[in-house]
Amino acid sequence: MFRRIIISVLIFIVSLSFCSCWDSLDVNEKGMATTIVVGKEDDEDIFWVEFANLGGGQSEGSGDGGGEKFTIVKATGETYAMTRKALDNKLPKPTFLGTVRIVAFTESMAKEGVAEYCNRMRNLQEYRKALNIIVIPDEAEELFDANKESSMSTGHTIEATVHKLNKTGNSVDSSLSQILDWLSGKHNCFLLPHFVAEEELLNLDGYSVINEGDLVSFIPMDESTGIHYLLNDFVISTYTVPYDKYNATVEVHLKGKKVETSYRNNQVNYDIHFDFFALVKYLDTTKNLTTTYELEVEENLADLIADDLNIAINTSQTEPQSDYFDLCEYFRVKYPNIFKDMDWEEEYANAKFKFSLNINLLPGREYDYNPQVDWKGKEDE
Amino acid sequence: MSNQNQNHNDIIEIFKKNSDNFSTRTIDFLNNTITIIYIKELTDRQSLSQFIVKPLIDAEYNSRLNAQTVLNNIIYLDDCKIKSEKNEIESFIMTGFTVILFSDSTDYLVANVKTVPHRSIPDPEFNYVLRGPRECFIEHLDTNISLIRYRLKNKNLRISYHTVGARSKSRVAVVYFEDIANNHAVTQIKQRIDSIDIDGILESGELQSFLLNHKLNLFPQMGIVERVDMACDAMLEGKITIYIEGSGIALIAPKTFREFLWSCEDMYDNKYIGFFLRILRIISLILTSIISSLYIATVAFHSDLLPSQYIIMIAQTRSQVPFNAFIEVMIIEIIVELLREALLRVPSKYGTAIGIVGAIIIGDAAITAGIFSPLLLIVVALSLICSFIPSDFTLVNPFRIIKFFLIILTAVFGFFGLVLGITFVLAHLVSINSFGVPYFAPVTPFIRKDAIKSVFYNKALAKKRPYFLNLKDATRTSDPPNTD
Repeated sequence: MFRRIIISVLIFIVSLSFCSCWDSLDVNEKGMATTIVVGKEDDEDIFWVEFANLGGGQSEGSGDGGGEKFTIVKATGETYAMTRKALDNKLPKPTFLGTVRIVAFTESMAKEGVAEYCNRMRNLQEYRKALNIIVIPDEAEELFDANKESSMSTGHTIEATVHKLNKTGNSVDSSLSQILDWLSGKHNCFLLPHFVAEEELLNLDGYSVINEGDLVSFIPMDESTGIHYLLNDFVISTYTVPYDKYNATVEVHLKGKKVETSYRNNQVNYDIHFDFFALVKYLDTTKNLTTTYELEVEENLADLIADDLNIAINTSQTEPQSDYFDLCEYFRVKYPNIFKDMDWEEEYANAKFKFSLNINLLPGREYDYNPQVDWKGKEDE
Repeated sequence: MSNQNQNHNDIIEIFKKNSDNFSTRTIDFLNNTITIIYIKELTDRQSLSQFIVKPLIDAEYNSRLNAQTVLNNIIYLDDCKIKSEKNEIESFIMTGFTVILFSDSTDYLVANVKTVPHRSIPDPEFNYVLRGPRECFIEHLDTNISLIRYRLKNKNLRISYHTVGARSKSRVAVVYFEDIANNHAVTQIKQRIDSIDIDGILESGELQSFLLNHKLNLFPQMGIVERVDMACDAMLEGKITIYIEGSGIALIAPKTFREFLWSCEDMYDNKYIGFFLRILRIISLILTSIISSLYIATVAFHSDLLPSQYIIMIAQTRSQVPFNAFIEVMIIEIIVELLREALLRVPSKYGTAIGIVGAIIIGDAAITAGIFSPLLLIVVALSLICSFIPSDFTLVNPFRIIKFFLIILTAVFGFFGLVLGITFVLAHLVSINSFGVPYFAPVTPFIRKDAIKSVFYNKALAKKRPYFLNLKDATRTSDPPNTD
């Protein structure tokens, strides 16, 4: 018995000595990177890394003073590895990448290609695959300067903006896992949110179109409503719909869509059906909507949505000729043999699209009590 | 004079010589000498005078008195018996009985006029409940048995008396329902009590250590109970309760892991509240064991588990701390254990002062000085609070030790070490048994109905006793006609 105990203790001590994680570092002994900007300048790669300052003892979001909460460190090098080495030479602590919320490519770098750095992130296990990737103008410092007064890091501010918009379907998924998934496909074409610094605020001003890993085009935000309908399953957007001589402000909810594709006379056709729920929020008149006006609002709203959809499709078919809606998947599944032999970019550019919209409009008469309106909400005429 | 009489005289002489410790009273009656021997500290001397001595002096008999005549016609005592074994005389006297010897007879009388000073029935100390009876056991065995008898009025209630301790001669009572309790467990307990060979046992805790199957086991395999209603309920459940003279805490066997998380209140209160409280106790037991280890694993090894804002927040709160997470946790856990022990052992007047000093030193000064991170203080405070939630402290105590074991494993191996430690503890728990009943029943072996009743229990819903106890009578309904 005694011998067994001795042997067990010896085994335990040996396993402790050889197997344990003696090199682990406490979380406060690492440099907490929150934002990484990858840029290109004079054939050199540049990293701007935003680190959280731990010494102040103020938690993020506390809004307290106590000096700068974040430090920006810039490093340059001929390759990513050399740039990282240059960065490490400037830092007193090992960099912890698990807190990075945003990796931003400058436009110059995105034009050179984002695939290599995305592959690098795939390899570095510390990166969270849920972090967002965006594109920014070449002046990266402006981005950090715009966020200087904020209690949140630049990465968290941008991430919060993207997440908030994603909840209503008014942005696109740009998580690292999704980008890596797209990059691994045959026809990798996708959109990345494009942020700019405007009046000391970080503003999502549109989308950068990435085709085969390179930045090819930019779509401004005011042309992107149709893109949201085509890319997201749930979208809330607001329209000002004219009727008679008035305007109705309507909140539109995309409830579902169905994409059908066909191939006739060497022509790719898409028939996309959308289901919308629309709620009249308010009017620019004191008179409520009559049934006639309701129909008019519904028709006009359908036209506005169809316009947005057409703009989105036309933009993708003409300017960058990029199927960033991933519509090729529907076709590939239905016609795998035809798809195998075709030049999809050319076929996509010539594809015909037909939209059918089903809008369930709710007039939304639950306004303040009006004695001139009967209880059903119909105005005495 | 016969040889026997001569022997009685020898015994009387021995006790007379030791008159400081033993009292003797001699009454002559028609050439027959009646000698009463007793220990005055253990004897109700008023009863002795009134019911034994006085009737013997006043007796008007023409013939010589013998034990049978005295018992039947003279003394006024209910608890009195005739004995003839000479070697038992000393034992009877030592245990507080009064022995009446007759000079011309080998028979003698053993009269129970014992009196032992004891407390009145106290309120519970560690089985405290808001709702339910408050009667507790005391150090007087006969009082404890009477409290049981008062509640359980059934002829199948068996009380088996044993004596343990060569010098203490402590009486032990094994109480159970003959028609419910598992025979194997009853026999095992009685055999183990009879086989105890030790100079003295003064408390149920000492007795418990002799009765266990695994004597070096960390986990309690017998329950302790101070409340009468809990002991009665355990017996109705098919358990065996054990009482020892001089201890106000009874033992319950067999007892499984789940029962340590139960409280009587669960039965008396709404079943949904009972269900909620049991879940709460399970969570608190898990938290008290692993939360400090989780802190180390998160801070030192797997920070990625947390959202990035929290990682930065934790890093900021720890930025001034000079120790690594393991040392920090060990220091504060030891301080908390010291405070806990200090608060439990000192009189209540000092307890408040110690609490205030502890709170100020740990809660404020240590954080201001940057010795501990505020988050760790929350973690350890939570761990401490959780350790008070389970109703039975005998289960919590092992987990206090396991907590340190898990902290060390986590500090060395990270999360892997924590999982390894938990696996080791669970493997151990499922491998032990309490008097033949698997300790982790009804989870392993899994018995569906009993498992549901483990968390959702009410007597009105559970007409059957637990299957895994392997009882003679598994139903809670009235006794079968042939047994009553």
